[in-house]
Amino acid sequence: MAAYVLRRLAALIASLWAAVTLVFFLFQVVPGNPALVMAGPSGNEQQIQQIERYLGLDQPIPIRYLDYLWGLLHGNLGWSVAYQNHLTGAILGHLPATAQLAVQAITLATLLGIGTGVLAAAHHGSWLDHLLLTVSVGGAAIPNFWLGLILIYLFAVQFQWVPIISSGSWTQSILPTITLALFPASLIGRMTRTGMLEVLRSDYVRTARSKGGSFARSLWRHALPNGLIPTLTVIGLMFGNLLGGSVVVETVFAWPGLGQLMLNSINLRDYPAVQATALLFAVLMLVVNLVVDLTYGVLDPRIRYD
Amino acid sequence: MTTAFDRAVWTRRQFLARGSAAGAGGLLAAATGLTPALAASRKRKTLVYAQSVVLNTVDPAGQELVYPGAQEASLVLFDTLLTFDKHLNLQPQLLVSSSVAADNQTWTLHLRKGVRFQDGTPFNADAVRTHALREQTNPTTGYPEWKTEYQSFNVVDDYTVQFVTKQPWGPIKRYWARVDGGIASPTATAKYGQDFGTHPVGTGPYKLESFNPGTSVTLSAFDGYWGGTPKLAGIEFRGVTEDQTRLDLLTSGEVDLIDNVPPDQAESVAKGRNTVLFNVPSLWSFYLELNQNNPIFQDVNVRKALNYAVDKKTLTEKLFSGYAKILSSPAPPGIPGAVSVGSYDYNPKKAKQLLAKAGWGKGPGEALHRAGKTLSFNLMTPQGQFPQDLQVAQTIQANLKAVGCDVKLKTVEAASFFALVKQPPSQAQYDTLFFGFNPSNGDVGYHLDSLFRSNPSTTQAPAIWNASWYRNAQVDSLFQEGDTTIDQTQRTKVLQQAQRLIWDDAPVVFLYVPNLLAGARKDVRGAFLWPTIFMSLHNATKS
Repeated sequence: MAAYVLRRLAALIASLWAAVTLVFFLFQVVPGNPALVMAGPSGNEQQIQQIERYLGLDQPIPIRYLDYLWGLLHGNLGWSVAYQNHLTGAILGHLPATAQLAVQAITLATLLGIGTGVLAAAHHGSWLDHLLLTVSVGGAAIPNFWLGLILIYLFAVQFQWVPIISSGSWTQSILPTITLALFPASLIGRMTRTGMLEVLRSDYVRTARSKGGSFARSLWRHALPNGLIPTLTVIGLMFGNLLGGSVVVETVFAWPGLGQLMLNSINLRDYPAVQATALLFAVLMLVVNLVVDLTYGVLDPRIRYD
Repeated sequence: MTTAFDRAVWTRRQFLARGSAAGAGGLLAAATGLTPALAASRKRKTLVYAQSVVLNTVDPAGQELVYPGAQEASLVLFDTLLTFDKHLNLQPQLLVSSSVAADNQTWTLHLRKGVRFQDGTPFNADAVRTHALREQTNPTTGYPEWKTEYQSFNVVDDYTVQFVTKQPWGPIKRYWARVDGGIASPTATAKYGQDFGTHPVGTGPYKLESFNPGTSVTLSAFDGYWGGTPKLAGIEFRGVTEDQTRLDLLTSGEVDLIDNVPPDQAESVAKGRNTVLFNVPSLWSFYLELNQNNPIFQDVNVRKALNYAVDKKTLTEKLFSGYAKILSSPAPPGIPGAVSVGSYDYNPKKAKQLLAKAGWGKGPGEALHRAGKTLSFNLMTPQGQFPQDLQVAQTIQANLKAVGCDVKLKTVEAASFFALVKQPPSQAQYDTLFFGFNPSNGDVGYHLDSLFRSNPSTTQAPAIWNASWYRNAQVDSLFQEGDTTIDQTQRTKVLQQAQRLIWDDAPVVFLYVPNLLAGARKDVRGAFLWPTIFMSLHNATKS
């Protein structure tokens, strides 16, 4: 186990380096020049060059790459054109809002998804199963910007039950949480249903029933933990996705997270900031993946890591 | 109607914060009821303004990037040397008076006395000089004129400062009213250094309470303001980039003010039970630049023909719901010194006649021909840079096709658009270009100069934004005269003559200015839109 974790960590570092390098070189080929943006409409050639020097953009690419790596190793994500400051602060400032929404949404999605999935599997083939399946396909199909706007219109404008942006109040997070949770919930629901159906047909569940155990006990105690393994992968991936911040949902709800940071940085051609957020997404994805892989063993002791 | 989220209601926490800030006054208030000051401050309300951009920094010597939101916050935090009224006429603010010496380059500025910065630092000649030097030395400033136009800044006495320019500079005073004319506290700039942008301190009526970069900026009344006690308890700026969300916030009453109302929603804001529409023609002028390095556009008949061929009326009515004004001069109608020169009314017949006069006749295909060549060119437009840009370009394409031009649309990413315009002629990828320009200092000379003065080099990129490569020596000399004339009446006369010449040369297809649209709750008073795009909140209040 320890050897496996070490091996995975080494692979993680290699992947991180690959991500950093890819992100860096991608941003060397995108069009647009931050110095030109900063110089403004009346900026002349001389000012543009001065800003390029100031931002280090006049250096050859290999030097900038090494500078960038060196900065990252020191926790410096770069200099933001828009924030006029180091990016580390901006990223850390936007991370909590996204993390809060991600945790709330994945919790809601997991509860909803597993609940409906188990329910549908237990009533396989019935009208309830069909209904839940229809709802979950709908949930996956509704675009979340549309859902967000409809929720705002109904619950914030018409009924005025919840605020849209009032900062500091938890009620503000209800609508974006629901909006974000719907898609993962439907996916988790369908994965759970499939996993459960497979397990419910297996021998040990039949054994559990035939020795007199109740259906509920066989369902929750015997079938669920085994049926959950594929679902867990989906939950992990979805969580990784949510941690990256949803550009659409955060924009609709003016939620001050990483998705907004990324979008605003793109609008301002603040390439260092876009680069840093892209890198952060890659890192979050890699870490979540590792954690998910390691959790398998906890759920299913038959899975060995060597 | 009171809404569930009415900001007028004081929360317990806000009340306690106020009370403890009042200190001894608070104790006194407890003993004797309310002191007059506290009673007055209790009546004041906080105004919440949802902007379409998210604020990162507010610094009058910094960047114009988060436009126009950062400037709007800046203008209530920092009083400027001069300011604009609703119609962009200059008014005194931190400057009481100014005069220029016989050389037309040495300006003496008499400063207002008894003014303090929000951190207690006295406002004086030293502070102005420090600010000017900071503008001049900041490598990433968005306001380069401090570097290019000024020679020196000298302190004469405590309340007199001298600005010396490199040459006589006609529009100088209009720059003193721009955002970068807002003086920063020298104590605060020294203390915060590069973090000043999130710790701004000026002499304006509202001071910084809290700054959440990328989210919100909260200001509170600066009760030591030289112009009297501010009318609001505070102003909260919130970044809400989604148009529909801003509208919902205004409808629900969660915010008091929103900017950037989409034209097709303006009607609903105007007719709303609790909302009013701000509707002001902007200075943001749009043109179809005709690249005169292309032989087709070197003929004035062709350029005029295209002006007659574009149906500006239908275009503004359909794409801007009528919330736009057709240009009748190279300068926008709302700018002081603009003169209405004429109109190129939609007339495809006349356009065809002019094209025929230029030698373009019937060919084998739909497009016109001349000497074996088809009247064919491209139209470059950004997508998502200007309001309705792609739709406007497509409409123009259809209009031009109707008079026999074969126009190919070339759509480019908003991110690379300006870099593609700033190209030397040999690299330029456009024959015609959809382009817009907004003069943020509201100066007609600056506007015309940026767009129509000959580019100094024929092998390098446009110096500013003369993307049509228009060249008229007479116009250039009028610009030169306007730029160096201090007397504003004379200057206006000169620049109006330039407007007539440019209009007749038709170096571009003159299109329109979109209107600025904002929405407010009905109880908001005193806020207004300057034609330069910015919302003025100096005298805003809530009844």
